[in-house]
Amino acid sequence: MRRTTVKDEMTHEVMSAAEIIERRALPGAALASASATLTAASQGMADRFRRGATLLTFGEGGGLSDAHHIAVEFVHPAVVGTRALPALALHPETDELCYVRRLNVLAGPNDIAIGVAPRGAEDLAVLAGLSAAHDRGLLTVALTGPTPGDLGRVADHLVSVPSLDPLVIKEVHVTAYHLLWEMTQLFMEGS
Amino acid sequence: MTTESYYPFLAEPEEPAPELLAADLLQCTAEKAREIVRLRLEVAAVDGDRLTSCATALAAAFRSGARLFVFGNGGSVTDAEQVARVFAEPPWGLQLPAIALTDPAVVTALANDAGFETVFARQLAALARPGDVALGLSTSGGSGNLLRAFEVAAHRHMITVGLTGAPGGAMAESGQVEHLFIAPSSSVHRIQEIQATTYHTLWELIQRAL
Repeated sequence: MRRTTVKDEMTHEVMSAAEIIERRALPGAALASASATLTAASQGMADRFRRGATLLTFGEGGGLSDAHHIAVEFVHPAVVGTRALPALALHPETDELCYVRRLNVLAGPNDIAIGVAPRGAEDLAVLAGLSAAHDRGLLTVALTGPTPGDLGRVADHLVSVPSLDPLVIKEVHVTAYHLLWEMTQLFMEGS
Repeated sequence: MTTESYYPFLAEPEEPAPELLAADLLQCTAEKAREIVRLRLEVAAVDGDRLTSCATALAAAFRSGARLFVFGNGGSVTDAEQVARVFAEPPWGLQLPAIALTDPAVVTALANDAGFETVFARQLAALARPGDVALGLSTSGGSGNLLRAFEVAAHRHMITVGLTGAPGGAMAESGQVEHLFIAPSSSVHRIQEIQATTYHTLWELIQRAL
């Protein structure tokens, strides 16, 4: 077993499950204040889906699996009786232009892009991908950690999570995109 | 003066103003964001001790050279990949051997040739050794391929851990899951969110026990 970067005092400190879980409370509650953003993003997404948009998702680090999770939520909803919508997680490569390349061949100006960047603008592939998507006219949504940085310039809608723990960031992101999905469905009910 | 102005309450109800609908939606969204916070705290209260004892058992297993095999369907595939990632490439602490049984080539080959029920069971049969850990993630607890996987896991003397949603489904009834955690919700979305906290907490407890 190899030891990686260690916060020695953290690893040797005994902590109860309750103490660990309680660290989720504040960052999770903060998502309530993002409800206007989530609503506006969902409305924008519904508008585009009505015009035939495809949702393209991508992520970095912990956000990689979220990109796939978002895609499956839309294309094969867990809730019976809801609308299947076109969604696709873009395949990652090892360089920061990987999503730009895929978007170039797959994305049109009416589409939607969701990028999951727990490290904010330091997730260079997501930043480059959302920037390219934005330039092409896609509706862009970013889910980030506590410091979005330049993602704020290229995302039409942005949800950040006030936590330094990447695991907590991810947990809050899951709720964020579940709410995006749910409200997109609601906004599409009228059509 | 019209009838409506004399008796305004008899008039046809107008469409609620868009601002009111939006306000409802905002309220509902905020409430759901708060609901998951409450549900997580409920998990802490109800399952905290069992999470700790599960982590103790798993830490001992890892010290003895165990590997963690994790599996699930649909959204739980992405959770399985996150679990493997957190254990194998942790943000801090020890790197631990963890494998998500989610390779689409393997899963589809097995599904195509041997049936979807076998996709995890066969991988465990091929890869797992006694003392290894099998972690199955499900929202319904009813997926046939998970139940078959746990049968193989038990037969192979693996430590079995299962995450499911209320009320537990066949996974709970099978009696084959040694450490079973039932998320206190029947909403697929809330279950998934709770499970993310559950497996992250298990990971951290294991790290602190090692």
